[in-house]
Amino acid sequence: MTPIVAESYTTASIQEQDVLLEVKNLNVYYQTGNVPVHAVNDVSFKLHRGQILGLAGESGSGKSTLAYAITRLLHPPASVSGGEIWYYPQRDRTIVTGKVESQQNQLLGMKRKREVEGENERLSVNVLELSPAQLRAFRWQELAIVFQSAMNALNPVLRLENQITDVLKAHAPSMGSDACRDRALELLRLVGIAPDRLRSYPHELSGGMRQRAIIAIALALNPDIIIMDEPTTALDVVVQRDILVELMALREHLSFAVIFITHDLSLLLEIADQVVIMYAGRIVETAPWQELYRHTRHPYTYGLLNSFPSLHGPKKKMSGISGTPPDLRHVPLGCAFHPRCQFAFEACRKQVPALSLPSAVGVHIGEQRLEPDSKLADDVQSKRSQQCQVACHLYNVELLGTHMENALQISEPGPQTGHVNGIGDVDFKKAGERQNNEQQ
Amino acid sequence: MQVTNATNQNTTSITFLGSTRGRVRSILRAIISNPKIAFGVGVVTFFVLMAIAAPLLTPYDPNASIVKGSLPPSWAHIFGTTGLGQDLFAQIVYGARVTLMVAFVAAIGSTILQVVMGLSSAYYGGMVDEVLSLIINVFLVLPGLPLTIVLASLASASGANKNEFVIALVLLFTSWSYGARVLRAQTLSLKEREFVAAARATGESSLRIISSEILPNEISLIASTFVGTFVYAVGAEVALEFLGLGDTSRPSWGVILYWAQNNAALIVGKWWQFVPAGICIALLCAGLTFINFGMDELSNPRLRVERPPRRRLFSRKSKAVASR
Amino acid sequence: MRYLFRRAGFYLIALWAAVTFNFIIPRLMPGDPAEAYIAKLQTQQVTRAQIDAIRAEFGVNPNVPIWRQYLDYLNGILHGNLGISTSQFPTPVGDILKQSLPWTIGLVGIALVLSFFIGTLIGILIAWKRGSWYDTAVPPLLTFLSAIPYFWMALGLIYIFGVILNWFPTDSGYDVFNVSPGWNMDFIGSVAQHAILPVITLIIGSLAGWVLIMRNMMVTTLSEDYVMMAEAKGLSERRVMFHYAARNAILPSITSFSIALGLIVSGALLTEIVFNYPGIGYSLYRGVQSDDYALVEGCFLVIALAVIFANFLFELIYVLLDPRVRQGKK
Repeated sequence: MTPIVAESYTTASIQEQDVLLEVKNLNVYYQTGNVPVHAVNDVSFKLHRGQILGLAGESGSGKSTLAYAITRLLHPPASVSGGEIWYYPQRDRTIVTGKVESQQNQLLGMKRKREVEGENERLSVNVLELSPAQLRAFRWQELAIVFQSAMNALNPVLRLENQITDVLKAHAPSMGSDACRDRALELLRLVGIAPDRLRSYPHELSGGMRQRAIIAIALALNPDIIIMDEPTTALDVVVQRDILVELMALREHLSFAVIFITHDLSLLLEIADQVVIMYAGRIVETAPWQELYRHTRHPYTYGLLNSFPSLHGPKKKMSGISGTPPDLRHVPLGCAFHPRCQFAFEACRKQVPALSLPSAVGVHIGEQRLEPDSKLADDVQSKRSQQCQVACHLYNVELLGTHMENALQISEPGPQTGHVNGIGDVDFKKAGERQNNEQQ
Repeated sequence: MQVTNATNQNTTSITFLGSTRGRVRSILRAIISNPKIAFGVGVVTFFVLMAIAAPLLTPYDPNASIVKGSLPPSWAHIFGTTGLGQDLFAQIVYGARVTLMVAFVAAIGSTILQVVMGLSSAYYGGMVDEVLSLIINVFLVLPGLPLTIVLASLASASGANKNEFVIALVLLFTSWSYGARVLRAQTLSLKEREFVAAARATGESSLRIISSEILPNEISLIASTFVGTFVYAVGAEVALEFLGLGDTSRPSWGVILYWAQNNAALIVGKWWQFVPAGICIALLCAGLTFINFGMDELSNPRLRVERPPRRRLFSRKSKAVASR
Repeated sequence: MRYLFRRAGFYLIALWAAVTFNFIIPRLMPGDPAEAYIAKLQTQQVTRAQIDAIRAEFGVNPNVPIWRQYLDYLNGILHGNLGISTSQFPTPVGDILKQSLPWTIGLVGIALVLSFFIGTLIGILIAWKRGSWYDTAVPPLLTFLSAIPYFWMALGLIYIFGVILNWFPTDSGYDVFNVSPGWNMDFIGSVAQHAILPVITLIIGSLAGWVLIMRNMMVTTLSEDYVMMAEAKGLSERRVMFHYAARNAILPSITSFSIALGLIVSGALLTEIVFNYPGIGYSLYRGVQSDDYALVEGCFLVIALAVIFANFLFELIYVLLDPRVRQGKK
C-alpha cells in the first residue's frame, strides 16, 4: 500500500497531557416503537491532539450516532442516556480574529473543571452539560463536522460566500464584512476551489467541489477537532483520493485532530493513526493501525480485513463474514458477534466481553504464531499500552481455560490468509504465572 | 374556504398487501390507531346514519308548516322552526340526505374523471399528455366558485329545473382538475418503476397494466382526493344553495341557510335558523378534512406528532443533554 | 428566461379559454334563455332596443354566423365592451365592473397578504416547536375553523360583533349615508372601518391552509442535512429557522399561492354578498338574482382575468426566490 501520509505521528508523543477529547461510557438510545434501540453501548475512547482516529463499522454499528452524540446533534427519538464527554481546550490558541483563546473562554463562560495533574492544571469541559449558548460557542469553533453528502449539506438557496461568512459572523461578530470575505477566499484557496466560485450556488458546483466547499466551511474557525462522516463515500475513487491527499496536507498544516468515520477499513489503515472498530453499538477493538493490521485480535476485525483483496500478492480465497449484522432491537445475548464468529465458544453466548487490554497470550489471529517468551510476544507486549484494546473472550484466560475443548473450530481449513494459533501451543500455566507476576 | 389536502407533495401510497380480509383488518387498524382518522370517520358515519335514520329521529315532515312563524328552540322543536313554521330539526335531518347525496354524486363523478384524465395523461405520455395536461391546467387556473355560479345560474335559467342533479353536474365539472393533476404526477413517477416495465415487457395490454399494476398502488391517493373533492363539493353545494341557485323548495342544509338569510334571521335575532345548519356543515367538513390529514400522516411518518422521549427511562444526566 | 416565456404562453392560453368559455356557455345551454328572460320582462316596460340588446347578448341573432359572432365578441372584449347590463339598463357592464373591482382587489389583496404572512409565521413556529402542545392543539383548531363555510362565519361575526356588540359596521363598503367618496379622511376612515369584519372573515377562513402547508414543509425541511449542518455550525436559532429551514420550506408555499388565491376569491365572493360589500362578488350575486347575464358573464371574465394575472405574478416571484429555477433546472 502506498501510504497517503508517512507515519509522521509517532506514538512517542502521546501523553495524558495531549488528550483532546475523552468519551466515557457513552450510551445512546433510540426510542422507536416499543423496544428502545441501544445504538451506542458504553463507548469510551480518547482522542489526542492532532491525531487521526478512524471509526469503522458496518451500517448500523452506531458510528454515525456516536459522532452526532459527540456534537450533540441528536434529535428525538434519539437521546443520550448516560456518559460523559470531556473536551480539553488548548490554552492560548489563536483563532481567526487573533484573540487569545483563554480570553475567548472567559467570554464564553464555559464551565470549567480544573483538574490538577501534577503541577499542570487542565481546563476541561463536559460537552453534554453545555448550555445552549455555550454549545453554540463550542460548535464549529472547537469542533466541526464534515457531512457525508455535500449536496445535501449545503443550503440550496444561499450562495457559497454566505454559507462561509455566516459562521464567521456568528462566532466572531467583530469581524467586518471585508475581513469575512477575505477569510472566505483564503479558505477556498486552501481547499483548491477557484475564487470566482465564491458567489456560486451549490447546484452550480461539481461533486468534488462541493465536498471541498464543505471542508472549507469546516476549517473556517480553525477547529481543534474535525469529525468527518464518510466524507468521500459519495465520490468516485479518483476524486476520493485527491480529496484525501488534500485533507492530510491540510492536517499537517493546521494540525487539527480528526475523527474519520467510514465503513472502508482499508482506507483507515492508510490514513488513521488509531483505529476503532464498532459492532452493534459497542467498540470491539481499538489499536494503532500497524497493530490492527499485523496483529488483528478480534474475529470481526479479522473478517473485515479479509473481506477485501489486496492489490498485490497471490490470489487468495476470501473468507468474508457470514451472516448479517444484528437487528439492534434484538441483539444476541453475550457477545453480539458470536452468531457469526468462527471462534465462538460457550462463554461467548453468555457473557458480554469487556473492552480491555489483551493479555499477552490468547488466540492471535494473524500470520504469526505467538509463543510466550518469543520475541514477538515481547514485541506485542510492549505495544500493549493504552492504545490496544479488544472485547473478545479469546483474551480472557480464565474463560478460555475452562472452555478449551469447544474453542477454535475452524470451519474451512485450507488456503486461508492465516491460521489461528493453536491454543495448545501456549503454555497456560506459564502464562498464568506471568499474569500473576504482573499483577503484583 | 375548506382545506383539502394539506401537503403539496405526492404522498407515497400505502399498499395493503395480502388477502382482502387482511386488507380490511389493516384498514380498520389504521382507522383506530390514528386519532385524526378515527374522529373524522366517526363524524361522517354519524351524519350518514342520521340521514338514513331520518324518519326515526323526528315525527315531523320537513316541508310541513306546523306552527305559525319562527319559534326558538323548545322541547317540541329542538332546533326551533323556520319562518314558515317548519321544524328545523326535521329539516336538518332530512336535509342531510340531500346535502350528502349531492356532494357524494359530485365527488364520485369527479373522482372518476380525475382518474381517467390523470392516469391516461401520465401513462400515454407524448401528445396525449401535452393536450390533456393543458386542459387540466387551464381548468385549474379558472376560478372555481365563480365558474360554478355562472354555470349554475345559466343552467337554471334556461328552463332546466333547478334541481340538485344540475348542481352535482356543475360541481363535478369544476372540481376535477386538482385531483387530476395530483394523480398525473403520481402516475408519472409510478410509470418509471420496474414492475411496470416488467409488465410491459411481458406483453400485458396497457389497460391491464393500468388497472392491475398502477391503480392499486394509487388507491390511497385516490381515496385522499376523493375525500378532498367531497369536502369541496359540500362547501360549494351549500354556497350555491345559499345563493338561491339550488332547489329552494327541498330543504337541505344550504337551503335552510338561504331561507334564513332571506328572512333576515340574524338581524332580528332568530339565531336558531342559522346556527345548527352551520355547525353541521362545519363538523362534516372538519371530519372529512381530518380523515385526509390522518391519511397524510399514515403515508408520511414524519408528519406524525411526536411526543418527547419519556424521561423516566433515563438518568438525571439526560436533562442537560436532550435539547438542541 | 425561456421558462418564463413558456409559462406566459400558457397563461395566454388560459386567458383565451376563459374568454371563449364565456362565449360558448350561454349558447350551449338547452332551451332559449333569451326568450325566457324576455318573457319575464314582459311585466315591465321593455323597449325594442332592450330586446335587441338582450338578443345580441345571447347571440340568438340567426342572421349572423357563429364565427362572426365570436370575432365580434373578442373584438368587443379587447375594447372593454362587455355588453349592457339589463338589470341596470342602460349602464354598460364595463362601468359597473370598473366600480366594483377596486373594492374586491382591496379586500382580497389585504386578506391574502395578511393571512399568508400570519399563517406562514405560525406554521414556522409550530413546526420548530415540534412535540409541544402548540403543535398538537393548533392545527386541529385551525382546521375546524377553516371548515366553517365562509358565509356562515361572516354571518356569525356580523351577529356577534355587529348586532350584539355593535363594535363594527356590518354593511357596505363605507357609510353611504354620511360620507361621500373621495380622497378625504372621513371616507378613508369609513372604508377602513367597514373593511375590518370582511377581512377578518377571510383571514380566519384561509389561515389554516397556510399554517398547515408551511408546517408540513418545515417538518420535511428540518430533517434535511443542511439544517443539521447549520445547527452544527453554532448559528443562532433564528438564523437556522429562517434562513436555512424556512427559506427552503416556503418554496412550495408559493406554488400553492395559486390554489389559495382561488379559494380566497371564492371566499371573498361569499363574504361580499353577506356584507353587501360593493365588490365584484356582490355584483355577480345581484346579476344572478336579476338574471342579468351580461353582468354575470362580465364578472366571471374579470375574475378569471385577475386570477390568471395573479398566478403569473406568483410564478415570477417564485423564479426570483429559487435560484435553481432560474437556470431552468428543477
